[in-house]
Amino acid sequence: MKRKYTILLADDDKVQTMMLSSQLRAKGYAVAAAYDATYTVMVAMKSPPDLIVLDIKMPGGTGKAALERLKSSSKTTQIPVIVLSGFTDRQTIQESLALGAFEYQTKPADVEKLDAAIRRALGLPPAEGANTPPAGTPPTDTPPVNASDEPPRDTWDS
Amino acid sequence: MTPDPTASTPDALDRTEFLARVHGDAVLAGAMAALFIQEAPAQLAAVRLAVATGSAERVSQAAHLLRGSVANFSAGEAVSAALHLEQMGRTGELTDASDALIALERAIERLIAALREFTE
Repeated sequence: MKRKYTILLADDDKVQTMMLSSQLRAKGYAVAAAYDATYTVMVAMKSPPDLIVLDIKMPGGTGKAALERLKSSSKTTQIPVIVLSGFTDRQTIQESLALGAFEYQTKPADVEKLDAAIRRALGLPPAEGANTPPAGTPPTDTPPVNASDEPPRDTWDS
Repeated sequence: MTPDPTASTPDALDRTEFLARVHGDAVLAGAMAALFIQEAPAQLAAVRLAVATGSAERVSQAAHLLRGSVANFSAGEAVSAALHLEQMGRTGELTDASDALIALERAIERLIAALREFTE
């Protein structure tokens, strides 16, 4: 990765943020963190990152409200947002995608899946050694969802 | 309610899965464990307060946050206990919330005890 892309991790789960910060930095990204929705919007407006990884449930307003504000402002509307949430219900996924999320992934976070989505969102090639299953290989886990996919099962995450 | 002795109980911590999640990085695992041990009392206190005040929405929110935190450790027992309370909050049915809270507190205690090995 020639240019250092900046990722804003917006989540009140500090443990997960610590893990993802460390792992994304190791992959060559610059990482900033915001622990509530209001601060997320403020940081994004003041110093727009290349991409935001956004939780849906945060203090200081919901992540959905933050997503709505980010997508309605000319300063931030072009920033791709990947939602990373503990919710797997159809309504939350559909609402997030309808609000303009690039992709929806479920917790617990998997940095390889997240990195793949970040690369897709930023138009970067897949990481070297990225695990691309051969055609016809059945999926082993719930796939991420993007705006062109059908939403997955209508259940709670466990 | 008497526990079913034949029912399988999820582990307090799946060490193998947790270490796989951090790609075997023991320093990161230790830092995450230390941060959780530091943050968990406040998160648990928020759940306790929400249950005490009978606010279903706050129970759901506080339990959701705690569930997210413990999920980072592949802590099946704590994830299940937090999810149980979160669902109670979502449905507004808090009749058994005190019992569910006790189960969650015990699961968190066991998780913290298991995580201490990573902080030593």
